[in-house]
Amino acid sequence: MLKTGHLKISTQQKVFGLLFAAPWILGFIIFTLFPITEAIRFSFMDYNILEEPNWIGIDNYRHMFTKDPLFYKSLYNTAYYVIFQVPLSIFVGLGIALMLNKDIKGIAAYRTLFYMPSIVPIVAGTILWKWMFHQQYGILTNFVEFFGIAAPGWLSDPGFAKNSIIIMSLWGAGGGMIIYLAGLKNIPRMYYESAELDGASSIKKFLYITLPLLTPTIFFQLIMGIIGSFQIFTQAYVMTGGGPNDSTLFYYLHLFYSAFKHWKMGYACALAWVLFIIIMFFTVINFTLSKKWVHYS
Amino acid sequence: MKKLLAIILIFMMLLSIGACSSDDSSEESVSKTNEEKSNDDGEPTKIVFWGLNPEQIGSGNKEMIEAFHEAYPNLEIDAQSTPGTEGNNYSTQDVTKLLAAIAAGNPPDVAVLDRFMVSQFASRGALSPLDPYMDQSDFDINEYEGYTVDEVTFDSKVWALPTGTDTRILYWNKEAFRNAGLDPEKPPKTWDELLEYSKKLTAFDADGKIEKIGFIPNYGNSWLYLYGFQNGGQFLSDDGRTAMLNQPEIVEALEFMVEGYDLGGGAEKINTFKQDLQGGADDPFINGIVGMKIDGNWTIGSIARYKPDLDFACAIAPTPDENTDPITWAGGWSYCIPKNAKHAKEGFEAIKYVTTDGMLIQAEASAKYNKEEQGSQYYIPSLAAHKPTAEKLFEKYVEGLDNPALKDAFQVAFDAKSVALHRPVSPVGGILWTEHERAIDKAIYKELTAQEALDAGNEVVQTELDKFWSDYDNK
Repeated sequence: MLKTGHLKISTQQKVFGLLFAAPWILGFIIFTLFPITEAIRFSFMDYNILEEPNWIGIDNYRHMFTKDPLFYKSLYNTAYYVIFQVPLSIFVGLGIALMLNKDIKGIAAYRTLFYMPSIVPIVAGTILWKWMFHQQYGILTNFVEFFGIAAPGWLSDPGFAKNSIIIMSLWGAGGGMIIYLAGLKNIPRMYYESAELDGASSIKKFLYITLPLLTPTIFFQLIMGIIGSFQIFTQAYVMTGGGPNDSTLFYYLHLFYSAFKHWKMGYACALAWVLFIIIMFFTVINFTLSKKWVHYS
Repeated sequence: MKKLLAIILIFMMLLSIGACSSDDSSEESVSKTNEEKSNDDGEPTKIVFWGLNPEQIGSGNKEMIEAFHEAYPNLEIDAQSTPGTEGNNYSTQDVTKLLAAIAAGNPPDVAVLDRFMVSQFASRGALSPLDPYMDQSDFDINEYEGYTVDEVTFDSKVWALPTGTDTRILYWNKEAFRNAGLDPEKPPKTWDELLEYSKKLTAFDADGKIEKIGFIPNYGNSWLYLYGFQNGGQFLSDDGRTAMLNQPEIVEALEFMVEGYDLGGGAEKINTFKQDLQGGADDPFINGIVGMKIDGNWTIGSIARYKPDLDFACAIAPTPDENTDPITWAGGWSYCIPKNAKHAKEGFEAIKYVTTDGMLIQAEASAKYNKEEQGSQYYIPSLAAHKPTAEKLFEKYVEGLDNPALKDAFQVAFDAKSVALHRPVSPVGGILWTEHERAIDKAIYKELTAQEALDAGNEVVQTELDKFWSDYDNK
């Protein structure tokens, strides 16, 4: 079948490759790229979904920065979530991975158990957690009261509700665990063996071998974590609807309500682009800083 | 050979694109095939209907849909699913699907809408006015409760037909009254008495947790709308252009709510307690944990089902003082015909039926289910917006009730319709609702004073109003 001539084969393979990828490429262009660029256009328009949009220049952006207290409130809520949730989930995910990186009987079962929550559909998981947070019958309530601590108003105290959503998100740390496990498996045994010969303690082994060699994995999780948690939406939408007293009104929730509850699609597009710029900014900062602490060797 | 392979590949690729881009749910393709069916082949015209779930057990919807087809053999209701109410801000149904369908020019023939949202759709040209269909011999819009029609009227046209209505009234648990040393035959008449009784009915345990509570201002269903209306506030100017969320009457009403929350130890404590409260058989009012509440008439049905021997009574909600007339506010659903609906005329026949005679069939099936499947002794009907239908339901199901408590309660709810107000008709009704809800939270959680909270909300609503009317006037 194959013709002689190296170049020919490769062009042919390229064509075939592209053909195979065509459905995805076209889907991406039509359903992702086009809406994204349209959203830029709409962000300069007043568009209520039902009527023709009209051009209003930078009014949406002006309104956002000067007249919309919820923009700042939701940004604060989201920042709070990102600042606490991302490090915590890295810490918990890595912790579980280290514990499950042992050769003991039935380890696969344990790994499965920890991984399971991250494949539960978010809405179903959230409804389940709503019950865990129940003020009287909730498992968590009874757990803390067992230790003689009064349970906080999980979802009814504006000062605590965000923490509840963070606690809930850690339930899905098993997703990160899988990635850390893969990273741990990539660390050659011989490093540990030579360290053991030199009499290094397990803490030292972790600090000087495991951690540096895991930095690319941690970095990947950090980037993905920040992008993901800036977009926190479903949990709050299902569980609190943004309350109590707007304490769980995250940025994406504000955006969604603006678009579909108050029909300010143009404004929602502007909000979306501002969020994009914010996430982009943090990602660039992260990549810049990563040169200092991520070791790819 | 290779060419053939390439052709096959390209063909498969095109197929897959077709599969992604058609992107329509099965129900859409169903409605398409229906359009193509003409009426000539003897098939009934299918009316695509959103918001009437035939699968809902015990609702009587299925029976009503069948009865409609019997009454109009050449028409058939094709009920399709639509998202229900949002879990938390249970203020409105989720209209995203309807919005998208109207914007895409492929709407259903009939859709359900919360009445206070109708003008929001109508003012943006998303609905068909019903006036052209209304001058039929067997139809009279005046047979519907006046306030329900006002709520779906915008620009002096009617945009939807009201189906049910509700009234918000005071419920009190006589047993709880007796235990607290109050006279069970004397409900509170004024706001002051309401708070005074509430204090007597509230009890805390040793840890300071609420054990029993007399009255929670925003539990059940009252919102600030009730207290604001009672106090003479109106939330929006008569011409619909000025937001009046922060007028003194409403500020005073919100201050009253804050006071009610403070009595029980503050919003945080009460809402933590409220989170525990269940519905159905565990309803705290039924269990005597909540002594008094202002709630919709649907509560009577729930009492009839779970504890028909409950020692309770109803009255019109307490007024700000002795000199104010008692009132209530009413909401409810309606059916509209979106713009560009394919079968608007047939759609009107369907909504005419389901808001009048259809409700009788619905109630009959529902009552049957109640008795036979649930083993309930009593069936309490809903309040129909169509007056003759409401009367018929009353005669059939309530007049002969041998349970005086339930019967009296229903009578109170029924009579309250005569003093019912509706929420302001506004193109920004949704935002008005959201901001009024936000103001309640800000005030009861003490983040802002009642005045500040309502000022902030008012500014948001006014901005939206100005924007809407300037666009509207320039059209």
